[in-house]
Amino acid sequence: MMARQALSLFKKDLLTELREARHVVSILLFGLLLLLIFSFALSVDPDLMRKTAPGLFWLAVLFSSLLALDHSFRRETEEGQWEGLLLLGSDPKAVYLGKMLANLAILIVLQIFLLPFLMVFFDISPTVSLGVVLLLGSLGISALGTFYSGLTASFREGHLLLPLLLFPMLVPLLLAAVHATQFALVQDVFGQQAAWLKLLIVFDMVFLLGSLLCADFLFDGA
Amino acid sequence: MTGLELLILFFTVILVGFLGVSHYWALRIVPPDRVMGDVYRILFVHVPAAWTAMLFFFLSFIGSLLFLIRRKKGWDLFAHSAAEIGVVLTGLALALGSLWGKPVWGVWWTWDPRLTTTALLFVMYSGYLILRQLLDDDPERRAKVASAVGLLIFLNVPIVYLSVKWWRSLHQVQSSPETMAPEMVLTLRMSAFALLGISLLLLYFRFRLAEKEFRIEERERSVE
Repeated sequence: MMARQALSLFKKDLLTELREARHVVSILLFGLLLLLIFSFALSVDPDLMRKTAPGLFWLAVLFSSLLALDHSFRRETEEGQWEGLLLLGSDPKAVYLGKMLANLAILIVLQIFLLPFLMVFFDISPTVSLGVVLLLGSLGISALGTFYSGLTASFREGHLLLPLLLFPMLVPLLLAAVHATQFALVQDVFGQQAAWLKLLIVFDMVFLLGSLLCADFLFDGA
Repeated sequence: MTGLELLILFFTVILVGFLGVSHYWALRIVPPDRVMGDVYRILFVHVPAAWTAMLFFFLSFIGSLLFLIRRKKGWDLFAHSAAEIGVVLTGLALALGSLWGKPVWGVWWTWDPRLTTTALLFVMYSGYLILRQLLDDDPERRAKVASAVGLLIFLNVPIVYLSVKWWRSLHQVQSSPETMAPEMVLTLRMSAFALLGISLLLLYFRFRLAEKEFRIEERERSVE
């Protein structure tokens, strides 16, 4: 029941995003723009640019994800679709899951879009394990991000509050993702990547479950 | 004055006096450190502040948890009061640690696990307090949302600590009572208990204040 509700909400969100493709396109362009701007900021030392590629990539993903996350509940709060969802008897957990999946989908599209540019700008070659890191990283960002976006969507200052609450929480994810990406790009002689991947998995699990459990408190009375 | 108020007044006087004595002790009686000289004396405030801050964040977590289970508004107000004092004490611990770090470590700041975790706790709980401010017009929602956020923050603490620890580690291992001069241990314990007592008193006052604020809010809403 919950899974079905979540899936239909996911489909609805994807459909509306596709019909208003300009929003997704702006997110992609913003990500690309960030990569460019970061490169200019570090242009003093081309060597530095290559070394910091994993960090810059994740910063670009993090900042562009903010656009997707902030937008995620806007339609519900601004166009009064909450009432609709509540009248349909939607389970708050299903709403959370559906939105989370939609955000995850956008993040994956964003990363697939950014990856070639990362390769070109920073002269790196991707590996299979990089794909795993990207997936786990996006899952963590959307798990916590969707929760906080649902929380802040009803405030006028919500777009300010979202990064303020979300970014400190994402620090372990950022650290793990950056290090795991680093080890995916260079020779991982000592097998250090596994530990960071485990940390990513733990982070994803903890906050997927935690947000899911807390989802009930978010949406009633919103 | 009721009996309770007298008792509170009595404790306040005693604890402030105790804090004064322990700090006098820390500044005058205890000998300087063999390596660090007088600089180390900052630890008699820094360490208790850090300890008490962690305890108060834990209390805040307990408050959030109990609110979500019991749904009594008092637990949410308790979580709020504890978090507020925790943020003040973390700020104090960070500032003092930085002052101490410059002469002893040679840097104001370093990305050590405990430092970084503390700084992140400071930011996360500040966000929690800002969130509460923004939800002022809907106390019922504020209680639920803030408790949920409080819970998530606390879940994150071990993960943050672990991630930063893997990244790098520099903070010296705590001195154990065996490696410290007995006078230092005594003074540290005195300072810690004094600060703990004062913070608990603060918590009591803050909680009373939060309850009164809540009642005012309620009355304002009923007038509307």
